[in-house]
Amino acid sequence: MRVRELIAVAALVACSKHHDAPVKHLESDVVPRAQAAVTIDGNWEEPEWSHRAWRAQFTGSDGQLARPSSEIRVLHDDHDLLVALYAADENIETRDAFDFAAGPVSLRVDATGKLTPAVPGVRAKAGLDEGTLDDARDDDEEWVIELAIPLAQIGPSPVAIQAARCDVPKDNVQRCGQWSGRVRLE
Amino acid sequence: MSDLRFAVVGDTRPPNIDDISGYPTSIITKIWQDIDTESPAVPFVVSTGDYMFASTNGTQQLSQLNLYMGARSNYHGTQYPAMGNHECTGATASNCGAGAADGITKNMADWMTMMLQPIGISKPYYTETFTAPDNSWSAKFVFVACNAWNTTQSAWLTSALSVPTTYTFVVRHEGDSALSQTPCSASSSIIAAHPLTLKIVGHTHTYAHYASSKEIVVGNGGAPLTSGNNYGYVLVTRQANGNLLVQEKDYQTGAVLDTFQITPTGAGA
Repeated sequence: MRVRELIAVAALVACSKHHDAPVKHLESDVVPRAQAAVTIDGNWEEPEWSHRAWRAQFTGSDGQLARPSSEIRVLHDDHDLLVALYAADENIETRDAFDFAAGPVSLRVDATGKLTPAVPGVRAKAGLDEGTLDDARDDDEEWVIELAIPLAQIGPSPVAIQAARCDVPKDNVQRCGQWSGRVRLE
Repeated sequence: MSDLRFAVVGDTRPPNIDDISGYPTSIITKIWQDIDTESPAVPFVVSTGDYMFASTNGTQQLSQLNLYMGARSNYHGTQYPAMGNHECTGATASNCGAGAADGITKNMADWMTMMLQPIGISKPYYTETFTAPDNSWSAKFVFVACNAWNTTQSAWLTSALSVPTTYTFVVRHEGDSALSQTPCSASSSIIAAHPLTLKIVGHTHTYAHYASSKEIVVGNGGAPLTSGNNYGYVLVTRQANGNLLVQEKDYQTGAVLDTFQITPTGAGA
């Protein structure tokens, strides 16, 4: 997919989700600078993630919103690209993971926050909300990955980003969703 | 009411706390519009809880409820809402109400003001009863507030379920799979000791039918989907023979994705 198409997809996804939402950067590919500190601890309750971050929902191969739902939110500070990867998931398992790439940095991060490969300087933490890892007897809700990737490793803006996730819910059918596009840093 | 027909909607919240930008307004609006245009008309809707994701010490309760009620205004019938854990603190284990561990949170107070007060309900748990004009059938809907559980509600539940009706529906946010995490696990034995047609729950953001436990999960009302089901709602329609037809519908296509029939005892028909 060419760069222009990637940007168009990004804008389309952002618009489809947020056409009724009063938030900045909705129709933009600009990743805002965080105005307050974001702690990489797997707990994305900092208001920056909800009120300021650039965001997009994953889509499936049918072009519809991915099921199970996934979402990416992105900020940056002076040192790092800050990424939140959200996964709705009725059965959270250690093997569940996001594949993520920003510029030349490509990695896989699982539901425990484990990075593969371990990239020097990259930090990741996982958080489970109302979830139990590797226990299918109950219904889970969601897990979140917070990532910090040194800007020095990503290269100059704009940055090509790819994020994807496949999941196998309790019906044992694998479903995948992804988002890809190019963003500019504020 | 000439015949028994109602819809079920459940779980409408953004992914993150105080995340009003992520509120699924367009999805829940479409769901209510779909229900409003059903033919024959749907006179009332029961909802399974979780209308917000707001921190109890924050200020987004009313903002998110206003988005919900704005969507809800597309439907011209009556809505009977159950309380979800997000109408307490957000935690499945939370317990709200006067004297309860979490007290009366702003989430709970604003939810009751916005959604229960307009239909004349003053407690988070209540019963609604419908009867055929010729008294040929009656149906009670018993709304359990798992996250406002106390001995008073426990006694009320026993009493409410003891009233004989043709159909008994228990509407509770948390389903059986999550009940052990809630303050109201005792509701399970009370319900088991009384006649039951169908247990209607949410909490899990999907649609599911568990025939063996007479339970449907309707949690696909806009909250991030946890499985492969799409957003949608459920229609329940009484048939001429007294059985109930249950249909789960996709909110985009209107396609019926699941359908089954049950007798008044909840057995498969």
